[in-house]
Formats: sequence, C-alpha cells, structure tokens
Amino acid sequence: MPLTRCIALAALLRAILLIYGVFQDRTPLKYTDIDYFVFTDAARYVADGDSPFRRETYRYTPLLAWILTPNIWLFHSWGKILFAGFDLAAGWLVAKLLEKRGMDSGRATWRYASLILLNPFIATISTRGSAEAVVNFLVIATFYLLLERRTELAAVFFGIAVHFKIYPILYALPILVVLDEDYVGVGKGPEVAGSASVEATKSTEPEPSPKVKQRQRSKKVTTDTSAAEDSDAIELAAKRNSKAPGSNDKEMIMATDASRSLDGSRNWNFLRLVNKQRVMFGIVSAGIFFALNGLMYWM
Amino acid sequence: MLPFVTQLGLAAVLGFKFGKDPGYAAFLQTVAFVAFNKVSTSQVSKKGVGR
Repeated sequence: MPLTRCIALAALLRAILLIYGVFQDRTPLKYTDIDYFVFTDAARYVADGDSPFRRETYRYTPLLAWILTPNIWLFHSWGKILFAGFDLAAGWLVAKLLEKRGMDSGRATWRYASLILLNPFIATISTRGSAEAVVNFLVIATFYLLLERRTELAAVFFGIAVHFKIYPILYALPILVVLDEDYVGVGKGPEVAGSASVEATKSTEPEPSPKVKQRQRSKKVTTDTSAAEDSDAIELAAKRNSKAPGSNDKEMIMATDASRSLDGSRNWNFLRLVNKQRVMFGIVSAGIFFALNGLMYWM
Repeated sequence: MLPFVTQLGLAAVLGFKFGKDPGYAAFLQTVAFVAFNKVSTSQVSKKGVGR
C-alpha cells in the first residue's frame, strides 16, 4: 500500500526531528516554539483544576490546554507527538480525498499527499509544538466528510475548526454553495420518459446543457452505486472529457457558477438558496462554535 | 478599513464563484486572503522601508 509506506516515512521524519529537538532544546536557541511552553503552563493550571487563562499570554482555546494535560503527568513532549499525529492524519485524509475523487492511489500519495507528509517545513511546524496541525486536520476533515456526504459530522468538525482559529470561517462560503440540490445526487426528481433530456441520454447526440447533463450523470451512476457517484470534480472532469467539439468553456464556467440557473440566466430568486442542508449545516456548526466559545467564558 | 474590505471581499467573491468545487475554492480563498494581508506591525512604520 503506497499510502502506508508514505505515512511510515513521514512518521520516521517527525520522530527524527523530535529527537533532534530534545538536543537542541539544551542550547540557547531552542527548537521548541515559545507557544508550546505557554500551552504547557496553561495545561498545568488545568491539571490543578484551575482556568488555563491564568497563564498570562494564553490566548487560545481551553480545549487545547485540556488535550495537552498529559504534558504534565505523562511526558513533556506529548503535545508534539499529538500534533505530529494530527499532521499524519491530515496527510492521510488528503490522499483518501483525492482517491475518492478518482485519482489513482499511487499518484495521489506520492505527488500530492507527500507535499504534506514528507515536507520538512510542515514536519518542523508540528514537531516544534505549534498547534496549527489541529486546525489543518479539522478543516481537511470537514471537506472529506462533505465528500462522503456525512453533512452533520462535517458541520460539527467545521464548528470546532472555527472555534480553534477564526479564519476557517471563510470556507463557509464554498461549503454553503456546494450544499445545493445537486449535492445528494438527486435533481428535481425522476425524469419523465420521452422528455428531451432523457432522449439525449439514449442517443449519442451532444447533450442539452451542462447542468442537465450533470443531473443525468449522477442519476445514471446512482444505479451503479459506484464510489464516485457524488463527486462534483469527477462530473466536471467527465464533462470536460466528453464535451462535444462545438461547445465552449463558457458553459463549463456557468455550470460552476452558483448565481446562475439551468439555462444560464441570472438567478435573482434568493429564497431558493435557503434549503434544508444549508440551514442544518449553519445551525450545527454555529451552535458548536458558540457553545465552545461559551466554554471559554465559563472557564 | 479599505484593505480589510478588499481582503475579505475578494475572499468572499472567490468562495461564491468557485464554490461548486469547495477544495479549489478554499485554496483560492486562502491564497487571496494571505496575499492581501495588510501587515501593520509598529516596527515597520518606526524603522521605515528600505533602510
């Protein structure tokens, strides 16, 4: 399995850096990030049953101090190992995500996931004790779960990610855009036999419009129950490959533009944009976010 | 104020436009957000640029 081998190599790289860090920490120029000492002190307060915000420059989430309490009673480098573990998980998720979108396993691992796994920059970030790896993992997990169509779990992970660092809130926009009526692979309902779009699927003529073809493709594939049935990128790539020679890229762009409807006209009916999945996603992720933030004030 | 409007506005527009492929949209948003990041540390204004 190429992925397991790549992860083993990545773990080896991080282990080497961790061991090296122990030695460099004894010199005046420490390997460990100053933030890591802040986290550990705050975890000491939490282990004593106190609030982590007693530590003066601790401006992060209390969840971080909680998961780092083994720094106190286990060993000092527990946090670094944990962050390196999140790094490896993020790389694994990236490879799985690409594989689900149809990329071949070896290419996904060695060309793309290796940018995270075998990358010395990223390895030093987590082995120095910076908590960026956790947010990284949570955001990638959100996208992976959306691809798996596990929307509720994706909303939970997104809420936690935004609670850790505020900037992933930007990704709420593309996530909300992708949660439209094409999301679960079902269009407006089963096509009536004899209608123009169904006739087109039977024949080899150029397809009517990109959006309708996308719906037909997802319906056809649903009966096959293949793993790639709901992937937007696969549909897009398939459309690109099978496009009739006369069609242009403008239709492709219009198919991805959320502000246009089926025939390309601008869609001003904004009430259509509110559907059950978007509302659910917003409520769950915002609820988690505010609940966790409320935790910060209670501490 | 205007730099923040540019930064956030560009990230928002990119998210909406390319949202059908959320991974790609997230990448574009991140690049735009970081590229338009306004650096405002006091040391920059104190030491001056190019000295």
